[in-house]
Amino acid sequence: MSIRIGLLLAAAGGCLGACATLPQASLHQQLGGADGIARLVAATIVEVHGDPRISELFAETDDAYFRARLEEFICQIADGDCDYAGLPMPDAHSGMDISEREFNYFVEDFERAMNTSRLPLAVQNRLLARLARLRDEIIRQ
Amino acid sequence: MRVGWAWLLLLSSLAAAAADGRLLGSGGLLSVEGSAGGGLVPWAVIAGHSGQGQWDALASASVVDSGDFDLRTGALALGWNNRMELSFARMSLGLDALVQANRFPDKRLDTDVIGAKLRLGGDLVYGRAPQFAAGLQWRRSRDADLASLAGADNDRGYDVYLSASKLWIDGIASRRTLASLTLRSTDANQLGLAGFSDQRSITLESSLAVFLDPNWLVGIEYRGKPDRLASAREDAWSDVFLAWLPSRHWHLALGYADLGSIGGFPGQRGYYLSVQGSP
Ligand code: HEM
Repeated sequence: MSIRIGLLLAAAGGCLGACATLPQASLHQQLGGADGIARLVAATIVEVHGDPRISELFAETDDAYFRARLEEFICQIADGDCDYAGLPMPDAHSGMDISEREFNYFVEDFERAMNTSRLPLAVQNRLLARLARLRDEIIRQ
Repeated sequence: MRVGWAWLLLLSSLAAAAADGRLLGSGGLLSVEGSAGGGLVPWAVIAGHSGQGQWDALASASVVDSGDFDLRTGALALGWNNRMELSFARMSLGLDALVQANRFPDKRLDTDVIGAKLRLGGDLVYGRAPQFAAGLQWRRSRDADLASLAGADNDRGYDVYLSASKLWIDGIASRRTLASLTLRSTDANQLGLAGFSDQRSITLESSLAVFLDPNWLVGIEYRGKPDRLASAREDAWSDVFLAWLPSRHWHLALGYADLGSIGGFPGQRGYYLSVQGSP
């Protein structure tokens, strides 16, 4: 019994330093689950269409299809229980030749969407950090 | 300072459109010697927010006042393409303590710094590697006769430095966190305000900063310095700062700096204030 408590304490102590997210909700839950992600993606689509710096790229986009894929994608990258049914990132953005600048514009729009969705900053940063890792698969394709 | 703002207007006409290619704050602030970074040390970032094909122009004014001394800087910088930075700074040291002790004529000690910085590779925010940059700072004392009173060998010199900086989006407490390290070879005494030595020194500088939110940055900095003058000890500098970045166009920083011993007066500490504007 006391050994078990000791182990628990040790695990908790270790977690303070190393794995602050372990006992917490998954990122998917922190995003507000499927509903939260749906709100976020809807807001993102509004933002990119309203951003003259990149709206041209989305001019012919089938929003309903894009919304469904982006929801799945974010759900999956946030450790939710979803299967992304769209194209791999390089294929999804091939032929667009997205520049580093345009990537940044998208990130800014996405940040605005996360703010409108009232996501806490820590959650925003956790999600953004995961998406930022994909930049090389998205730019200059 | 008036000259500085006139320059800014001129430079802003060069900048075709406001540079918006990078995340807010990713250009740091103009330091006391004009190079982009924290208040006292350069980072591997290019001043401003220029992305591919963009220019950015910046001007800043800052003051550190320790009571016995005050250091004022007016600086201008150009950032291009998130690749290259050119800067000019005029540092001016007020010598109240020395003047009152009748050890110096009643005059400020001015030193100019022309800086160039090149991003060698990597990206501050994206990818695993940090961003690397190499920089040059040419310095010239405008009051060489006074600097030589302090025992300096030369009235001009140059620094070469290498910086590595990284920003983690999901850093400390899931806040954006920036760490930076700079290795410098310098012949300047007190940044050149006390002239230059024949002998060069290698120094190490570092910063750690956390974005409380995208508009507020707190940080600490440390700047190793040489200690070569027999007449007066020179110490490392350090500071803590809080910067407010309401937009790409305005940055404001308030800090508390420890400048160690200056001109034989130990324990020089005081507030640091810096304002930066960009079109
Ligand atoms: C990490 C950031 C990004 C993620 C996670 C992402 C995700 C996606 C996904 C899931 C799709 C649908 C793929 C499919 O068709 O099966 C897509 C398509 C697309 N993305 Fe991205 N994307 C990102 C960045 C960008 C950027 C920076 C731009 C442009 C500035 C962009 C522009 C587009 C466009 C125009 C489409 C095609 C829509 C259409 O079918 O017309 N994306 N993206």
